[in-house]
Amino acid sequence: MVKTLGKYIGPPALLYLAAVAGQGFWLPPFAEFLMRRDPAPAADLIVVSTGSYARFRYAVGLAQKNPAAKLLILGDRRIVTPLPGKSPLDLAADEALALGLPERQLILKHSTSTLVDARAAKNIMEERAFATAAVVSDSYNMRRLAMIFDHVFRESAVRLHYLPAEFKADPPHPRQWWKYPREFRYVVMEWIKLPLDFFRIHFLLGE
Amino acid sequence: MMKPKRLAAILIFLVFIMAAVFPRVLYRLGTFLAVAENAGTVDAVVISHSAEKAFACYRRGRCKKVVIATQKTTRPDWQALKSLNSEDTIRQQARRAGIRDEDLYLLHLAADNDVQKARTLKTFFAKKKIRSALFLFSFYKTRRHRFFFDRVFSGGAITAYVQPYKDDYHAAFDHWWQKTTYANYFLGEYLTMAWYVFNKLLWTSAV
Repeated sequence: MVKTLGKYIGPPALLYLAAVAGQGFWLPPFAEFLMRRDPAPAADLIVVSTGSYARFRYAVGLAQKNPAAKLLILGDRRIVTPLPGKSPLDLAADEALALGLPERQLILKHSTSTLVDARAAKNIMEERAFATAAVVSDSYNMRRLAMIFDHVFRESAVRLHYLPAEFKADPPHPRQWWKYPREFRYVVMEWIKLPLDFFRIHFLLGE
Repeated sequence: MMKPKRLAAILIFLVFIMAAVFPRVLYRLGTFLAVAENAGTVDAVVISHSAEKAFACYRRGRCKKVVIATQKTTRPDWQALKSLNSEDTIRQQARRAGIRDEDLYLLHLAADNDVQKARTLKTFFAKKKIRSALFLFSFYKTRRHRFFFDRVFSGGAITAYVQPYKDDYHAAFDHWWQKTTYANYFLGEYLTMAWYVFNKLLWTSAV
């Protein structure tokens, strides 16, 4: 009886104990794989969506350092924050101006996904004959973002650089991401979306 | 070996079943996130920013105190939201709404996660002798808070009720999976609950 039970319970129990004891080894690669940082170029266009404030603020900082560049801000106008009743895109536009960015440097576009962001960026790059773009997003969003942008720009001569927005006050914790609810959400969500988006751009979209 | 015709028939049948069932399942997954509990008369109503529903509850005498529990964070956030959520602004709005100063508590939650937040609230309630409280959140955050309150307040002297702070949220569930922002919000709520379970399973110090 005990022998039979041990046969069935033993291996899963050992596996579980190994997973608990070795969490510091097998979990970090899930976050580290999602991250990417390119050298910051003097870009013609800085692309950012309003998915998080941190990335927006980082992109505004880049635009302020490079006044010749345009800042393309993308966001969904359909959903508004409870207070003050504005969409993140409108909040971003207001704040970019309040931070001293001239209106001529700003381009605002309604967008509903990373794929729409990439297509909007490509249209603007082609219309204005821009050569280099810096695409800004959150640390754990970079892998999927780069996959989608690279796919949309695959026949274009435009050079894309991917820059994660990082703040000293709120750094990511890729070695312990599962302990932080926000990072846990982000990493798991990216791992759900990454294969779905891969399938979508390679098999469903007949561009 | 299955005949191709038979295999095709089974596949068509499965696709048909999935197409028929999936929207219903997804819709239910959305509505599951909204919790609206009957509170009756409570010692306090707790909100994270000024909300008319909380003030109305106070004016009707069903909520004896108003607790505004704001999140203290080092994370950068929209300036427009920061100024709205400042202590002075909230106090002025509460005064205008007819809340007496002695019945208004402002609580800063310096917590990284929902467990810590709930524990801070528990300590605060014990100090202020609050035994029953109505918590108001965005509709899709109510299930998550119910989940954490069940774990942190269980067996204690606090009875917590959860409601959306606005009642006009039902339209948000229509095809929510086709709206990226809501899809992210809703998935994020499930993942935050999963974060708790995951960390419990791994015996981490986070929970």
